[in-house]
Amino acid sequence: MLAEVMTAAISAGFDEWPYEIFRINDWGSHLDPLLSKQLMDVSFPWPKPDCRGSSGGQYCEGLVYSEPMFELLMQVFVRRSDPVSLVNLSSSRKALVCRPAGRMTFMLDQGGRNWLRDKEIELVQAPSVAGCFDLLMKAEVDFVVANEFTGREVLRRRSFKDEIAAVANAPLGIVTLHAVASNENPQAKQTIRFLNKGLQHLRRSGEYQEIVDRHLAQVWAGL
Amino acid sequence: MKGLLRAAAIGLLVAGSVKTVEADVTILTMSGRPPFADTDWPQKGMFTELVTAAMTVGPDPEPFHIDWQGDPTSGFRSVTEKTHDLGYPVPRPLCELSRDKGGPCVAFHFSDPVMELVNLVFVRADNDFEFNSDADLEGRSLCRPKGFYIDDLDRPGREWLTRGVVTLVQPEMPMDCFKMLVAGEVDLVSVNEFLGVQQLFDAQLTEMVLPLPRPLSTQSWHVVVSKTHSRATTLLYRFNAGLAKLKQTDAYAEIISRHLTIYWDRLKG
Repeated sequence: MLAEVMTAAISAGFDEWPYEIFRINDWGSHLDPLLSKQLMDVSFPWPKPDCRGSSGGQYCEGLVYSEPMFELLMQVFVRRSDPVSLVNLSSSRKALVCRPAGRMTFMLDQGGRNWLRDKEIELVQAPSVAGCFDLLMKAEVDFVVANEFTGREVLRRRSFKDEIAAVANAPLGIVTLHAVASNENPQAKQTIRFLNKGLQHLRRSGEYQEIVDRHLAQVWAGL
Repeated sequence: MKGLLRAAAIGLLVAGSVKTVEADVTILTMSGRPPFADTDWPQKGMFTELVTAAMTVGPDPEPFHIDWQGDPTSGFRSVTEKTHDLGYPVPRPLCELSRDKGGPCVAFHFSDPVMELVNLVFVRADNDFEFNSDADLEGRSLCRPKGFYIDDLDRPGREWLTRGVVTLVQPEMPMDCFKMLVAGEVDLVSVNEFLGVQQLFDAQLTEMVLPLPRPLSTQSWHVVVSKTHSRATTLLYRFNAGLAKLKQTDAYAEIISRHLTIYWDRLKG
């Protein structure tokens, strides 16, 4: 969905801008070196930390964010048979929390939590959300933190829906998704400005809603 | 969804910043439903006050405003079309059993229940009517106005309509049901307690018609958002978390009881 939004935003925001979209699963490489060394200009989608606090760190200083492209919940997924209490995390052994490698972890230290900073949990990284769910199924981690849409879709594809579920009414937070450029790229601000212009055009013309409608209708019909 | 973009060249650059317009969250409701949503009711209704309070105390609260639907025939179409972000009050059908594939279960995400109303059975006072089990209503004619949900009449284990053991009569207005009841054209009327009692007082039927103590069903009422809204789940989470907070404190009960007091006082007055 967001790839389609992105393509449409580029078409609307830039008069002439030859571009190519690459799919690179190693998310860790996106910000550094691909963006920082200017091998690529923009990466998406990334959640934006609350840059008024201290949990954003390098993700606040090093990146220029586009306007939000979408908004969703960061969910905690647990085994239905063994739901971990999120309240008394530090009371027994350290909980093992899986996040996909290369993805941001600021949501573990926001909303009154300091799970990583105070070492209340141990972070486990798998290559992907699916990899995290595989670890959860094998009870090698206690819970998985992923965005609700990716989480649900991976559970559906892996047929884990009967075994794994998001903790009801207790997301780690609301995040907005953005395209980002590296501050080390002198063109970063201009690139994002044009992307924003494209996004605004899409919203005004109704094209954004048309794309989102089509994809979300499919998502909910499949669940 | 994942991807990287590579720019081979950048076109002409124009100076000037992009203005971000953060519009209020827009909420649609309809008047004429005292004590729940009504422009003439204190705080514009109990439901309105609960929605306002929940949106205010939820996480990352955002500015919002409530619009009153001027055209009741449009219903919540503008919520489906995303002209409005949220809508209330909307009863939730039994979505798990819903045969209406194009209905609200498909179009909307429902919030946690804001309130639950009891559907009562109203009968003539001179009628020696008993309702101790579902079987007591079999063979009867039941009136419920057009447009009201009827899935409780056909819920698993009951299936009055599927089995054809209860005759459903659906006139246009709630008052039509009570008129038919008094005229002996139907055996019973089933609507929610507030609507029913209000009708009895309005038409001065309190001596002639009685509600039976055993409820027929409960109906939950919700805030809804279109499933294809780009912020559907997050707007709903904000509301649900706010509502949960109200229920954890005395605020929820206080709002309800204050409005109910006004409601009963007005009926008696």
